[in-house]
Amino acid sequence: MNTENSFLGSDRLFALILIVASALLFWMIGGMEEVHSSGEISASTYPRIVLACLIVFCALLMLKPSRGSHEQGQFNLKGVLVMLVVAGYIALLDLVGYFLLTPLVLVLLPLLAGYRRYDLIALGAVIVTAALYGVFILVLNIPLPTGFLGG
Amino acid sequence: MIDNLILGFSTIANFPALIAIIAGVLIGIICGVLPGLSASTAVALMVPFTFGMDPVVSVLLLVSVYLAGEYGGSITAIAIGTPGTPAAAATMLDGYELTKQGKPGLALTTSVVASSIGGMIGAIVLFAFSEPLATVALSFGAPEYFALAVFGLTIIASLASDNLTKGFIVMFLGLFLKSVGLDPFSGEERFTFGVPKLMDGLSFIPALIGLFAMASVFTGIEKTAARAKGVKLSFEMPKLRRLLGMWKVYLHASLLGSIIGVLPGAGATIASFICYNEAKRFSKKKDEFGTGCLEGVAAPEAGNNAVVGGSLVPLLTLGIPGSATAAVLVGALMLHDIQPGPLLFQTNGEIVYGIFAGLFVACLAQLFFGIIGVPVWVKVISAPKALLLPVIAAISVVGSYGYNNSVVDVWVMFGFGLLGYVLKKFHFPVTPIILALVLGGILEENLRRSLLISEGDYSIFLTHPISAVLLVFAGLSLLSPIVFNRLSKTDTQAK
Repeated sequence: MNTENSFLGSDRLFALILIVASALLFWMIGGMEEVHSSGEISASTYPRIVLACLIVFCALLMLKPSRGSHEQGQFNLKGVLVMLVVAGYIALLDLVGYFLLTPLVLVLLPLLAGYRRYDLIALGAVIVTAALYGVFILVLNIPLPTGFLGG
Repeated sequence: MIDNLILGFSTIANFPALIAIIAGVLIGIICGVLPGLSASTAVALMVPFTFGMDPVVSVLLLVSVYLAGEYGGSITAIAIGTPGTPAAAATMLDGYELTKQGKPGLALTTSVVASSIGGMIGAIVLFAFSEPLATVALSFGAPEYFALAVFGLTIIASLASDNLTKGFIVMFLGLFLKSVGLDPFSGEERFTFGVPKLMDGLSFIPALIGLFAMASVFTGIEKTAARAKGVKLSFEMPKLRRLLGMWKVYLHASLLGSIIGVLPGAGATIASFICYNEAKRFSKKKDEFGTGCLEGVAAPEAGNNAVVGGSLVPLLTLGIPGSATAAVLVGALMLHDIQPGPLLFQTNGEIVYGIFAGLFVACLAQLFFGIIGVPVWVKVISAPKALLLPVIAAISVVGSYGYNNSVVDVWVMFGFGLLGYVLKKFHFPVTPIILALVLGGILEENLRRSLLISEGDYSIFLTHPISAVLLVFAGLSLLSPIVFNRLSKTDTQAK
């Protein structure tokens, strides 16, 4: 995302998105039933105060963005791909299981980062998968998802 | 007092506790050595490994990681001119100069000795001030706790002093995220969007793993160079007399660092630079600072390690974290059903005094491993980040899953990881969210409880003396960085 030379520098863009989201949430919580006795503030009042403050500070940022704001907020493809791999890892964790997915992710991520020592990548993937298994399942007794391997 | 000391040392005098301290020191040093992994990230990353542990053992492990993480950052600062942690930036000024002169051993040894002395003096300050402060805090009611939470949140002023507006935006975002779940008073659902798991609110541990560890994976892999630079160094050590001759510097910086640590928000980075400046100001050899002066290494290192003990004072006595790492520790304590605050001394005295004793032993372990391990730690610097970051990603996912055996928590971690990544990209500070997640509950509950007591009269916060004083402190804490910034700008312009 390159916002250079536009009125919507990254600070302003970020603030605008937050203002819209906060206003939407402010409106949503407004529908809650207001039940309160003397001195009691309702369940919706506190989040509304917080959201109102958030809107005010975002508006301040829009009025006075930080210096160099145009250079911020630039994303690159490598970062997005890493996020997609991690999101896929989480989405398939219950279905496929820890034992098949973890080594795969530990191979994919270094390759995405541009690392090409295949022997070290493979060795690292096996050792780390086994080490985490050892620590979580054998030492700490915390179950990890087994997926279809676990029946 | 002696009884408490005995209780502390007897708590840690067992095999698992000592192993936890040693492991914590080693892990902390390694994490500190790796640029990009701060002490707070290291502690966040270690929290999942404490799930099944005894509370005392887990707290000792995390406190040791915190202490050694602060020291570890100095190794890279000295060896390759890249501070492993922000607090080590001041150490680099003279430490890296010594390396360029071919004498890294002098700087590395001075650094570990100063860090260990600083850590011990910080632990003494923690021991001396915690119980009296906790006794005062026992008289706190709802208005006082509300004011205390407000005071705690003003830490943001120092964490985001370069752009206060951004700090406040992130803080209010955190306070909003904390309000997700069932309302603590009426039980009504807030922003749960029909997801039953969200009724308990957003899980704090996965959130902090996401904000610190996963976000560093996203940003780190983007910048990763496939190969790390090789490091060739020699390791001549300073003479004992030279090391002992700097006792005034150690003592001065350690006391200063401890006091700075107690003040909410000041933290290790500020302490390092203040201690460096103070050592220079009192030195007879001012001109040598910046050219490879050992005092210039000793002062910031003693200061930033003394902060650890100091920052645990408000955490253990008031439940208010004094630094980002202390905020992560709050989550770890709560995970083990330990509620930091004045009652902790009565309910879990063994943990509090165990931490005092544990810090002492951790300092000794740090001194030992720091001196014998210097060549090894320098090797760690050359570990390829492209291999390391995926390991952090796997630990983050598995650790968040293990927290509750729920994929929802892993998504929470991922969401906070994305949030942390976006915040870093837009140059927003991340720590205010953690502070808001820690203090948001205390803030809302005590605001509403106070107003119930006063039947809606807001003056209750000013008519209670402690609450009023805390609110005044909060105002001063908020304004002081702005005033200092203005003054330093005026000073620079005048020069």
